[in-house]
Amino acid sequence: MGVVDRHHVAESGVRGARPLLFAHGFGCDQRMWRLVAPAFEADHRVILFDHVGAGRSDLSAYDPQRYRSLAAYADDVVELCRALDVTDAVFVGHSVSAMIGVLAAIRAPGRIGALVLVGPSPRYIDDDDYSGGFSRADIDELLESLESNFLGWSGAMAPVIMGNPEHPELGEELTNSFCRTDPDIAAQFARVTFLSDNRIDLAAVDVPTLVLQCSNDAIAPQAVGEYVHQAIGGSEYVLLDATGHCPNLSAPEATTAAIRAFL
Amino acid sequence: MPAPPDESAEDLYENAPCGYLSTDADGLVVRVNATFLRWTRYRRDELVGRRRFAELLTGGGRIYHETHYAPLLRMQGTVREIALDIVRADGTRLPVLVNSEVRGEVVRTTVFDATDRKRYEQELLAARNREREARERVERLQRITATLAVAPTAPAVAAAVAGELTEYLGASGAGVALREGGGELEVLAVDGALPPDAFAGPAGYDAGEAGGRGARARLGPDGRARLAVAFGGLHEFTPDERAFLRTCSEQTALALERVRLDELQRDVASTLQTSLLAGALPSDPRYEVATAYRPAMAHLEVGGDWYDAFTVPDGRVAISVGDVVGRGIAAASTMGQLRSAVRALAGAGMSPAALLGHLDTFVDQAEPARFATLVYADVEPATGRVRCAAAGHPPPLVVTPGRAPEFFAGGRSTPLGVTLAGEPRGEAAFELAPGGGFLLYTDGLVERRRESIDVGLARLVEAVAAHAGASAQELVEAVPDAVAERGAVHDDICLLSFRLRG
Repeated sequence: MGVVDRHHVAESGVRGARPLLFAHGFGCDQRMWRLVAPAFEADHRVILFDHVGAGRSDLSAYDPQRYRSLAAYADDVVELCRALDVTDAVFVGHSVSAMIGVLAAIRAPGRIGALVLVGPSPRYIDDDDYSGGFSRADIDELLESLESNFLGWSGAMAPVIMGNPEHPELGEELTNSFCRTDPDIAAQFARVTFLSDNRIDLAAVDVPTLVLQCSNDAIAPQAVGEYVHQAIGGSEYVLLDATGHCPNLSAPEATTAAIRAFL
Repeated sequence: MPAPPDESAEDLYENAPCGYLSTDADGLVVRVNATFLRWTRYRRDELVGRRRFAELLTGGGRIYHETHYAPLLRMQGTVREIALDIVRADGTRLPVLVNSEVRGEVVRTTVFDATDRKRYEQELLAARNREREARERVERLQRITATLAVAPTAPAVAAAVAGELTEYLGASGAGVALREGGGELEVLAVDGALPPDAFAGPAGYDAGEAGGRGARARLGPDGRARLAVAFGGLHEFTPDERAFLRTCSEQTALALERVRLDELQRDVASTLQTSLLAGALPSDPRYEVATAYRPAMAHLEVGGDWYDAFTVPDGRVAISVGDVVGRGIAAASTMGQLRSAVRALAGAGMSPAALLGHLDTFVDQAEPARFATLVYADVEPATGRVRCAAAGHPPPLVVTPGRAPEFFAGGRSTPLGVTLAGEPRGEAAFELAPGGGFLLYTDGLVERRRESIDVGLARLVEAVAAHAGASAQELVEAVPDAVAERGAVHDDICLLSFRLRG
């Protein structure tokens, strides 16, 4: 299976125009962008994809050894850029994908020409003089929540979901399919996401960057968004009047407008 | 029919058998029923207009809410059966199952007490985790057993066990020691760090003392092998860990015993081989003979290669180099039989072809010798004439002063015991120039894995050409270094060089 199929890539918009790569965060898949991405199809090449282990990606490509850090996800993005022959792309990363975008931009200069970081956090856990908003115990509780919520996932359905890529409708009919993940993958992705620390990587970003911060975000508080803005020299900072961690769902117009203004 | 007083819509809402709350677009609680307040011990005015639903959850639950619950609700308009923990006003937790539905600008959420269900689920999870641990333990033991079965030496056995033990137990150190013949304990391998007295004292488990010595375990099933594990601090050995340690200790003792027997057998075979190959080579002012034997690095068992040179009554020098299939004591003793048979037949003045014919008859009675290969040659020192026959063996390399070395392709036939019925063995002859000679060798010299033998033969020609004018002794010393794969010889190398003095 090629890189493009591995990530269930969906392309639309104008071929040859500047590419816009939308990356989803922890807990969901590319459908997270369905209220935002179409707004750019008229004048951009729009690329949606799922991280390996999420959504309709190739679950058999998920190797727990490989996906032990965000670097592996960044490598995937770079591979994807190569496979799609993408250069000077605008990478729009939500939540943990904001940091994946940061790492990818550092790794492959030229491929990613600009970053839009939606609700970014370089470090979720509080440190000596840094407030990420969470403690180590909170993350353990999250793992517990994941263990007791196998959304749309049961042992009986798993073979159907994984074994029938040619019949995606089988998966579609399941409730909660949008957040459906193999529980073991979800637990590891949660650990990798919420225990990572990418603060020192921010200074290495040298492409135009937009930080999109929600006014009331329980996952990535305002102070964290401002920290990212300060750490990335020359970045723009836009505070959206939106509650929650997903402005791409709760405030799609404002999100679209902010990205458009940045472009 | 009017509803009874206690079945009013208001009462149905307030005292429903589930918590019920409504939140606005920002997640702020706008309405909540009495059941929810009773369960969570909040006052109505602490919640309505002041708190978001997500803020009533644990830290982890809040992340889950933001990354799964809220997006799902946006995407589907409804979410069902989500398990969360609500933090009560007094800080205690209430495990709940939550259903939500978007209704215009408002989200309605019902909350079901799931305390018992959660406890039950946790028991199931714990059982699942225990099952997984047991499976992992079995897999680990299978892996250890497989590793030990092929570990070639006692230190290799010990190192494999020690590494697995520290990894599995998370110990600060583990090791294996051996007591030979009631003497001192010899420490074979240690992984991590062990205190100096780790192996001393009786077998048993010691959980350690707070602030004092760390936990220890010592085991030794047969009194010879002893296993020790140490922790930096306190450690209570669980029944599972004790069972694992016992099994490991038994497997270790078995593997060490196997290694001891293997080593014994190897010693016997090696002694046998050395004694069979011993014996003085002929010494004569007209010619020189030199030999070399290099055992394979990859095998600990001896092979069945041989060389031999002796004079026969009519003045000729008889020379043989051969290779018996297999390794170990069996191969070494078969080699001894064949080598003796060659001597006996050669002493009777037999020609090379006739000698091979008799060996074919011989292997019909000595089955392990079937498929052995050899070159037999006899030389008239006065004339330099060499008669030669090769049974399935690589060809002699003939050296003539002033010319490139050449393989002698004559007199070739099949390995011993596989001749076609009625077809006699052939032989051929060549002349040695003054100062000239030839080299016989076994295939270990020219064969490498994943490489055609032609490449190896070409390499041999090159190496011998580079040593033009060398004595027979110099040649057998220099050629293996130049030709054989460095450090990775996978077969024994046996070679013999004959040279007429110029």
